[in-house]
Amino acid sequence: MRELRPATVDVLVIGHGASGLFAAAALAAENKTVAVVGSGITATSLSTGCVSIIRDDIFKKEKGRIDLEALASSVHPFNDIIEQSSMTLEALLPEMSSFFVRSLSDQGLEMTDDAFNFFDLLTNAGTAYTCSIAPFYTVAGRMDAMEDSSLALLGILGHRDLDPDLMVTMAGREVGGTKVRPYWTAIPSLGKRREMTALEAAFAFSRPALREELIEAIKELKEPNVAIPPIFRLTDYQRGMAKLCSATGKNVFELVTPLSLPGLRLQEAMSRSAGAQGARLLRNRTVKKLEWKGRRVTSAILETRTRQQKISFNSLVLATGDLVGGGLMAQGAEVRDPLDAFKVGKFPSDEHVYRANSYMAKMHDMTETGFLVTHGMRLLARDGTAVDNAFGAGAALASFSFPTGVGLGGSLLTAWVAAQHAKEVS
Amino acid sequence: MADLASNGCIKCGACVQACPVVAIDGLSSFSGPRTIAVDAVRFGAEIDQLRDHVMRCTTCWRCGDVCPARIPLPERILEVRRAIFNQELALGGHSRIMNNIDRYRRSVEPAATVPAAGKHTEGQVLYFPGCIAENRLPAILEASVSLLHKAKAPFRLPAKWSCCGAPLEKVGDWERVRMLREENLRAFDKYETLVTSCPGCTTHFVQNYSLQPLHTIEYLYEAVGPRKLAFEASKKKLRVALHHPCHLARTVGPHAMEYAAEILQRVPGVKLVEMDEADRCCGGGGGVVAGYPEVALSLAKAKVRSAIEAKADLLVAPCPFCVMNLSRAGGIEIADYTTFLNSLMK
Repeated sequence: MRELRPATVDVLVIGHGASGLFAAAALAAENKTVAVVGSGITATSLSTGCVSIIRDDIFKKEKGRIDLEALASSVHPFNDIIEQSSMTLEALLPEMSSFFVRSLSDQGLEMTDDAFNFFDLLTNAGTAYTCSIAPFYTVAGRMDAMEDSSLALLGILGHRDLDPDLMVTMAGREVGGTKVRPYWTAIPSLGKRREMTALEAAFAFSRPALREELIEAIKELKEPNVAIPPIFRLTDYQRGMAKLCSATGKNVFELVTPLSLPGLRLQEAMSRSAGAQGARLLRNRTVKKLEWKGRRVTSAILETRTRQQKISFNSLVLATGDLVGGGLMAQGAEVRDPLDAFKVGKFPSDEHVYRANSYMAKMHDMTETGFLVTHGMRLLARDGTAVDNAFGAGAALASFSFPTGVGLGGSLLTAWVAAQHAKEVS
Repeated sequence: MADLASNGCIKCGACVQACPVVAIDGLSSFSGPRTIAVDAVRFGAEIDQLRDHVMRCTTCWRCGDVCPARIPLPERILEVRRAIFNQELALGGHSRIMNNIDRYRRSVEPAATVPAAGKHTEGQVLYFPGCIAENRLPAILEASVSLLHKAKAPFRLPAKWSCCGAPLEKVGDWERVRMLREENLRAFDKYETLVTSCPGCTTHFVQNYSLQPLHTIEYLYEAVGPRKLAFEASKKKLRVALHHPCHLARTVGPHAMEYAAEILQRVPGVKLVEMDEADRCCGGGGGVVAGYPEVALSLAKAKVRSAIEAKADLLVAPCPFCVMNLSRAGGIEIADYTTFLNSLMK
């Protein structure tokens, strides 16, 4: 395979999902030269685009406050991360979330955050959803500001992301004192399409004529609050939603929808934010080989479908994600070469809160397994000793997998801390 | 087809979301990569019923890039096309390609006059023009020759050559692909570096010939060096949108587009503007222009719209197929990358 000119950076980040991009943005903001290498769709792109800071076992039962004491004493790795970074969670969380929110807003995705509280959101399946950082137009709590809190669920014929009838069947016609009514609208300019993907809808709704037809449909509803499926991509999102609100005089918001536009928007905004900070994004490349010098990783051989390139660095951040991200192989304990140079395992506590909730031991094992880290978020070599200049971040870490309920916030937090440490050795 | 079953599919829908043909044409016309490459294979769909779906794929490779289960969806789609071809279900537009190959060894009808290779018959760099640059857009061939000359590349053109075979691979005609491969390998006598101006040829030479060609942009960047390219002083300011051809950005590799952008940024007076979804397919690939011209045209129009929205004066594409298809849309000036660069170089 033909080799391209080699390159050198301060930090190489492997993985272009939320953790990798966030670590890269944080490092680039500190004037480090950073390259992010990644391939394939990320778990972030498939997510709801909202960020839960922390697992709900440390989310106090009496209404929404995070129990900091429980968090600090909870199982690894949260307490370790906090101890090792010589920071308190009270300081870490707001700092991290404010950088996150600021950098996304700069890229056209206005986020609303409350690091120590939760917002109430509504999913397209009719379930309630809470999280600490969410796109502004997703927060259902804005309904409370209206005198009349009744809610119209507006399905767009053909758009697969919202079936208001199904949603009302699932959630009932009254949710927490709010009256809910299902509606369907046919957008004439969409033509006779039977079914659309969200991107197809987004493509169509980038045309002003369709927006006008949707505005007319929303105006006809008598409820002051209107929930719609996601129809805007990142480039149209702020402007599009603001137009729907101002033109109709209603509180229009978007439902939380996984596997659709919200995740793609978050991914794109994070990519742009890392790029805006100066990180180089090396998309659609895989890491073929890592080169070592003693206890240090010194370079990586990257590969596209037809070319190879060597990239040298002072430090490495590993943010490969887990099962969904494809960083670790299925069956949990198997890691793809060349990442198998790092020690993989399960977090050695049988008391882990999620064991009791796990309905499937295999699934549990799979999601619990990941890279182990020691002080300073440093990764371990296979023999169990710490690697000098490689740091772990995100769902690739043992017990940080999304399916165990840690949420994107946990990933971002580890990425933030990993970036602080990677900065010191590069 | 049972051996092609893709049991790794996790039904995330990422491929359907990413597909540009689905976004333009609708799921009812083109059922998307998953249905064709995974479900149809698994549930034994009738080949002839698949045809109208599978032939709409532009082979843009986006689905293959996004699949978290790493299912080689585009390769599977090409396999399905091969099965269709073997059942003699080829589309009318595609039969024309095969006739041209049989008669002229080119995928398109030869132009009345072909730019002459001139004195470029010796040199260690072998420049392969490709069918489109020779016969449909000869300005690309002329510009490539002039550009290589200005860059002081020791190049020559092959005395004899056949179509690389990429269009036939997309149509499913692997018999002719093999034939052309053998002919070309015999015709390419000694050289150090093979250079192509068409990303389709570049990719095909790598994947089917096991050669190591460079696209013109890669050659300029890697072998010549971006700093050594000398440009004319700016005549006027130009806002340029850079289209990312699928077979350059995704199969040759994303570095090629980074090189392309870096070189353009060095040109006085050129301002690169960011275009929405620069890597969305223009519709020019996969035999869709020949099979379903209306689909190819919708995709081209969407691409042009993105460039106009970015307030670009010019839409530049480093691929003859893209240039040809984008030019059908109208609304903005389209330029081939090599031609544009050559016009600005000293």
